[in-house]
Amino acid sequence: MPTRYPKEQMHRIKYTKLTPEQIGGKLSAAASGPTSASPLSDVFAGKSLKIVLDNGPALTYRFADRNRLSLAEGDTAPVQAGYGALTLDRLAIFTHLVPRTERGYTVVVDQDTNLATALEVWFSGYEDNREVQRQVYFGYVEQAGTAAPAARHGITNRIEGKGFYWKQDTGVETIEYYMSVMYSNFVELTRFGGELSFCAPSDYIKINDDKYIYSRVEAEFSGTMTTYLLDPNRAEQIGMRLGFDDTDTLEYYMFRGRGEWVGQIAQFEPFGDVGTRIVRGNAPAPAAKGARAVYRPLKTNAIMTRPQVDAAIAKRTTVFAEGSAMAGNKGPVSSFLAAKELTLRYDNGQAYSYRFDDVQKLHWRREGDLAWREEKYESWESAPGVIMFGHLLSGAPDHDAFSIVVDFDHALVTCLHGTMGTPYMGNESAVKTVFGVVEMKGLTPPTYRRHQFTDELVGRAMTWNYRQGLTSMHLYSTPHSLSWIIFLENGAGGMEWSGPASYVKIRDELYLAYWLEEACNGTLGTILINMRTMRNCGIDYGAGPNGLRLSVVGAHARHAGRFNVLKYFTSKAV
Amino acid sequence: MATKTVSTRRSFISVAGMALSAPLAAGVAGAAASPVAGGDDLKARLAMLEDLDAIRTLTQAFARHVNAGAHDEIAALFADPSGGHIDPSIHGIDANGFGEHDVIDIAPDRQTATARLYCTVHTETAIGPSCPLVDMARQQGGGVVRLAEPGVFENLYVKRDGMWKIQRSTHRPA
Repeated sequence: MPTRYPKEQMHRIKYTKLTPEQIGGKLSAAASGPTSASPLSDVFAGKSLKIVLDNGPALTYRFADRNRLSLAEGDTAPVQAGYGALTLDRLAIFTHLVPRTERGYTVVVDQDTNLATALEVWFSGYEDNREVQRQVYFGYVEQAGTAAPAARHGITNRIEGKGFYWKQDTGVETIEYYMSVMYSNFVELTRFGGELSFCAPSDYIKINDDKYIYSRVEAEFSGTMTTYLLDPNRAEQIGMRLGFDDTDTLEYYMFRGRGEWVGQIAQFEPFGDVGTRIVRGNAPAPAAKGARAVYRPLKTNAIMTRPQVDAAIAKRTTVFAEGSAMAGNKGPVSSFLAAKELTLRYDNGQAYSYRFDDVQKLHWRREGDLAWREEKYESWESAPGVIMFGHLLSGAPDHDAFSIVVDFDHALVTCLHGTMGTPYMGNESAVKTVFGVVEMKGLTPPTYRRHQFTDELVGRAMTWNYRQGLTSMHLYSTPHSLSWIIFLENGAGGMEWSGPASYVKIRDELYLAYWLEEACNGTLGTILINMRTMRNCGIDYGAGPNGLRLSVVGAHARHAGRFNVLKYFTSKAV
Repeated sequence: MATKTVSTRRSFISVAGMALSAPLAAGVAGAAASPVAGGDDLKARLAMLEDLDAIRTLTQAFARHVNAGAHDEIAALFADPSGGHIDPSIHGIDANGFGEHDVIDIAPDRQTATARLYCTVHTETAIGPSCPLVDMARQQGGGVVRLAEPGVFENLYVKRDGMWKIQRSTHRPA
């Protein structure tokens, strides 16, 4: 089968704003319960369970067979519903909807301990009705004549930092990185071609040291929920998926999957912190049923038209302003370029000549032009003879900017040519990578050799401390995307997001990376990663209501680890 | 308990939370120099100790309200509540403060007093300027630098209608 690439990537799809009535109508088709490619279990057939939930309703189930149950929530009258169940050893997961509602339950029962976790799920609980909401309850299966157990399943960080490749019995393949205690990162290898990774608010629940529940909702996208039990040792999963795809078709199925453990990266919580609570600093604890922290980039960042962007930039453009929060650990400004003259000749046929007046002022002109243009620039010598510098191209039609890395020892250059505006947003950056050579007195450039795109970073995770109190982690999640994870106060992974990215190898342990915060704030981030000095230098390029900003990035790095995922991204014969 | 002798003011190096009876017995200024005190002296010293205790109580209330983020209550402790603001970066004062090195000087007329109060101050400073990463950190309760550092409050007190109030409070690192 050829790889199925979508016409639009997930963050570009304009998912239909379904009405509650539309959702209700579509859910009625699932009254008989979820579908499943694997045989459903009869583990509960003929049995009754009363599940007592802390701070939740008591759920009284009678299972007629492997497909039909009745449910009484608290003191309400029982209702009949279709359901499905699967087992993994002595753990069982079952799921059902409540007829004539937009609600349902997915319940995990440990038949050895009689502990249970129930996820109440519902639609139309957020302004985007299709986004599945959930409330997690912990409790137990009542046993006649037996006291209620004191133990409970609970939230955990014990699977934070793990990564898995999964293949469901449906044929769906994913890579899933558990980078946080409240978010996860997933790559749809088959459904979306595996180019990009995406992020979703997630729950991680510990059943015991060897079994966990993972649940994500693809908020800001289709709103679909995926919930499964997993056994990290055997890399097995059983679970369910509920939601509406990009054609608004209901997905409500159970699945059984097998996979591969692809790695474990470091955790940064204090030793002994096992993640029984999510430390959210000054943020108020979510109080409403189902509430949790969800990163909604298009709600928190302005979406502007091209004329709005042009007007904002005309009012204000800042180039390498002092005091950038992202530059607290920047390296010293280099004087390497000062007083030099050179030409950067790119393989796309363009060439730019430079006169560097001093450490912050340069003049440039495109080959064939007569006039020189003056720009403010800044530069850093990341490694001996390797200079990164950047500048705006005043007067360029798309508010162009260059982020350039020159290796003077090899007379090679790579330019990340940023432009402002895409077909989707006026204030969203775009970028092209251009390779070339340096022409300068005393240098003879190579004829064939160039910097090259690389996949050597793929699967790596690195932390970046920009200044006291401001640290993120990059996950180079696919050859074409990068995820940024923001640490919570206790060092646990918090919210994260992801964007298209690309990596160029400059030298051994020296990489130029960019990422685009698409469908987000529109920033183009460019950094030169030096894995010998464990620091970066770089340039952010972005625009918004406050105009255009070209700003310095400088951070200290730590290795967080690496996932062994490269083999899933290679192009294979079909 | 140490005693500091000042010609024009009476000073106390106080121990936070200690009952009034303790300094009265062990550390009243001038007590050692006047083993046989007259009734007026005792009255004066008792009044001074009452002032000291009132100031200490006021100071503890100040710390308690700072820790609770109770800005209105903090303002009410000041002689001029409209000026009763503290450094907005200060979010807490260590529960153990104020401590043994505190110095409280009460003027002879018992209408004003000054204090140097040593404690651990918890500060929280917003990271800026804003940028996409900082914005994201703020959404999850971060985007700030939290520090716990030794500091000194230098306070000026004034008695109003028989009640001690804070006239000015400044904080500096110790």
